[in-house]
Order: sequence, then structure tokens, then C-alpha cells
Amino acid sequence: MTRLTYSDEPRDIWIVAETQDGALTPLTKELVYGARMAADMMGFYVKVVLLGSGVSDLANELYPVGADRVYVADDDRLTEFALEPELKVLSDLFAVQAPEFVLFGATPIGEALAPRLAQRFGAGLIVNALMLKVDDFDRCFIGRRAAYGGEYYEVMTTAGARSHFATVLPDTFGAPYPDTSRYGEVETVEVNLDDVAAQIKTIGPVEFALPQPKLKAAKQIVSVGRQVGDIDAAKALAETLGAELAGARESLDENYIGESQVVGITGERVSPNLYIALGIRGDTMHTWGMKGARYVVAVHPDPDAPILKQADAAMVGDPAKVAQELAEALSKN
Amino acid sequence: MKVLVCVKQVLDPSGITVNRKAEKVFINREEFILDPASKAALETANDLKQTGAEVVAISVGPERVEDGLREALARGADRAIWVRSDGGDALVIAHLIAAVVRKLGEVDLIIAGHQSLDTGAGELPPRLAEALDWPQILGAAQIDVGANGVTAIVQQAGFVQVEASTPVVVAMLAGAYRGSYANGWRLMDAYKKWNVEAWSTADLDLGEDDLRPLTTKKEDAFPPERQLGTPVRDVKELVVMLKRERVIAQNVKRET
Repeated sequence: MTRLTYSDEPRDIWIVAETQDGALTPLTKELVYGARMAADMMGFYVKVVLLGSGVSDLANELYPVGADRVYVADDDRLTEFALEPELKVLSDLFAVQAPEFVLFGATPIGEALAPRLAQRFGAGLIVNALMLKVDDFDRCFIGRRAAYGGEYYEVMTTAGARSHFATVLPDTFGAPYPDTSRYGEVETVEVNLDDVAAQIKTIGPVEFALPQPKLKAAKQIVSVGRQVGDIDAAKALAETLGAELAGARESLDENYIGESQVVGITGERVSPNLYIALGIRGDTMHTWGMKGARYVVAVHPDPDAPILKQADAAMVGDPAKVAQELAEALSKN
Repeated sequence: MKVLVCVKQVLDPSGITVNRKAEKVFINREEFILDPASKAALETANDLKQTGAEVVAISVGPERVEDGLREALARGADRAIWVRSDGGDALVIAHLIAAVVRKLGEVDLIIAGHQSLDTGAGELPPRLAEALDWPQILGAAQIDVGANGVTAIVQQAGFVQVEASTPVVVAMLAGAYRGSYANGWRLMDAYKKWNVEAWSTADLDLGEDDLRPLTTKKEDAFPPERQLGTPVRDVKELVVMLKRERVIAQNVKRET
């Protein structure tokens, strides 16, 4: 474990930026904005590390959302994410700068980087934070993370550590409120990757299916009934959400779904985080199967449909239209 | 080839009730089960035994983890090591397991669960890889060991095949568990014949700093009570509600 040496100066809040297809991810901007709010309270600067190739221009997009200084490591060897080169660049930088607070996105990249850097530098780490603040008294992160898939939260603190890391889920700080009059500065990071190579070689995509039944393990389910109107809109919504398509038994008769996709007494019993019931009337035969769901959204044209009484969000309206609008609204932000 | 499997116990979720109104987690039946991701890891290691691998199961924790290790023995582990410890965060556990690996020697492969049922943090495998300075494969659905090292099928946007040379840390997805059972005879032997080796932290050459947890749980917090039948007027309001409840997955396809 490498110990970082600190001065008594304020040591700033850092963000490890992520890019996708040559653009900053929305989560990165949100993190910078969240860091800005904390920094204003603590008297910190917001510093962003930007790794990749041809990313120098992206720094200009970070100032309006709150960055004061952007450290750019622009190198051809950082084009695609590979763990070892990124770890090397980041830890070389951290060893010099000794950051006190660092934010990562709760993405596959943050998931791979943050624990390794936390272990390397002996930092406290809150993983998958869905609420996070800088505690000004203990000078640490306090954050919530979901327990048992969000049944309740655990409040974690990094009070014992000298440096504090967190990976943060989207929508924790909210949409950034950009200030176009802000400006900042860029610093180029020296990249020294001569004796480092990626140790994991990607061979290529393969066809594979997990052995577990899809519906039982699904985290999101879009479920359809006879009143759905347009099955394609429901399918499009499921695809946008990354959800599984399911249905009540009656939608099997309509040929909307297959036998294995039936939810209810005569089918599967599911426990997703989100269950969207489109045009399902909601008799007991069906609702028995969806009792384990953590959050139920129901859309039905009939205001007297029993499903509306059993949903956390009950909406009277045309299911196909709602599905379409919802898919649009979700893909936009 | 020596394979180390990290085993974790979690509280059986069917034995707990979360009361949002009282802001309490009621434990009706305190029973610990093997985490599904750990079962997937054990199952994978058991498959590797056919190629002549020796499987060592390890668990860090109080007395109760011994039970989990006996189940690991029943599920095919040749040896079980219990590191006695009263709590600690992933940092400490990674230090402990890494010290055991160094003491055992010649471990070529560590298999752990990717995300556990309770916290789903997935912190330990990368931390362990760091403590040993090994590469890591996270979110594996299947692995094969050949002469050149390990090939794995990893879940990303789709499934991708990757390759690494040993030694390596692999984190298995809970969804990769095929649902195999422990052999009945092995289960009997696990309790009657075989022993779980108890190691204490003093045996493992670790400093005080390595055993000091840095991330701690302060308290539990609870989401607001469910209000069934809450009317929603339009999609805009619905999106706000969904975001507040955090039920939308991260992998929503967003136009940038």
C-alpha cells in the first residue's frame, strides 16, 4: 500500500471522467456538477482527470458544469479502456497530487478502477452511492448504498481514512445547471506507459445465455395485457430500459408473448425493481405473480381497473401512447 | 493447479422484513446462506477439478462462516480455510486473503462472486487483485482453463470473450449459477470427517494499518413508505417519480 503524503492545504475534489464515442458521458458532467456544489461549501477546487486519445477539446465542456482544472492525458494507447494503462496513469498522477476526495462513475469502468486505486492508496471507498455528500465536520464522504437491491439503504462513511473515494450512480446529484461564463485551465499529464501493457486480451463478442430463467432474474419488466393497444410500443420501451418483456395470461391468447413470459399464478412469480404494467386489468391471478416487485407502474385506459390500486404510480391513459412517450423521455436525458 | 474460492455468507432475504414506516429491518429468522455469486464461484471451481485442480475455499468472518465453509466442502472444495475476524471492510478482507494466498503459495486462480446479494458492491475482487498485483476479470459468466491461461465469457453490453494468463482474479456473476446441489455423501463428510482450518490474523504477517477498516456503516436509512394508487397525470411526472425511486437501470440507451 502506497501512502500519500499530504499538505495542510485544501486538497480538492477530483473526478475521473469517462468518455463514450468521443463525447463525455452524461454521468461525468453530473459528477462534476455535484462536485462543484460540494466544493463551494468546502472551499475546494474541482479537478477532472480526462483520459483517452483526442480528448483535449472536451475540457471546454467541463468548465460550464463546474470544473476548475482539467488534467488531460491524451495518448493513443488510451483509446480503448484497458485497466492497467489507466491505472498507471491515474496512480502516477494521484501519487503527485494526493487527492483527498475522488469521484468515479458507478459504471463498469469505475467499478474496475476505484477499488484498485482505493486499495493501492489506502483510501475509504463508498461503492454505488445513490446519495453522497462531503461531511464538513469529519471531512469525509457520507453516502447511501442500496442493501438487498434497494429494500433499504446503508449509510456508509469513510471517516477513518485520509483519502476518500466513491463511485456514484446516475441521478445522484441531478441534472447539471451549466454556467457558460465559467472558465478553467488545462494541464497536460505526462503519460509514461513504456513498461505497462493490458493484461486482459479481448477476443471478441460471443453468443451466450446465462443459465438462470430470464424473467426471475430480471431487474426491470415491461408487462403487457389485452388493453396494451400496440405491442411494438411496449417492446420498444422494454428495449430502451433494457427490461424483459412479460405479460398476463390473456396476452398469451393475443400472441403478444410466449408461454415462458407469463406472470401470475399460472406462470412465473417475479421480483424486479421496476414492473411496468401496460394495459393489464389486474385480477388476482396476475397480481400474485408481481407481488415481489419493488416499484409498480400501471397504465390502463379504465380508471376503475384494479391494477391502479396496487401500483405505486397509477396512470389512466392509452398504454401504447404512454409507452412511446416514456421511451422517448428516458432516452433523451 | 491451485484454485482459491472466496466464499461469502449473507442473511437469507426471506427471513428479513423491511418496515419502512418503523424505519427498521426486522430479522425474523437469522439464517445465513451462501451468497448466490459464491455458489457460482464454487460451481465453477468444482468443474475445474476435472482438469486436476485443487480447490481451496476461504472465508473471513466470525464463527458462523464455518457453516458456509462446510457447505463449500460439500460442494467440492478440497480444503477450507476460515480466517477468524470480527468484521472489517473490503480493504481489510482483501489484505487478509492476499496474506493467505502468499502463505499458501502457488495459487494460480482466485474465483470470487462478482456482486453479493446484500450490498452488491463487487469491491473485493478488484481489491484482492490489487493487493496481489494480479490482473482481474470482472463479471464472468463462464471460464475455461487451458495451457495458455484463462479464457472467460464476460458480461458487458453483450457477452464478450476475454483471455488472461494466470495468476488472475475472476469474479463470477450470480446469474452464472446453474443450481447444482451438494453431493449427499460429501455433505455428511463435510460435517463428520473433514475439518475447517481456523487461521487467526496473527498468523498472517500483517501490520496494524492493514487491519484497520476505513469505510464503515453508520446506520440504516429507509425509502419512504409505498403509497399504492398514487395517481400520475403525465409521462413527465412519471419520469420524475421513476428517477426519484431509482428503479431505472444504468444501461438505459441514451442519445447523447
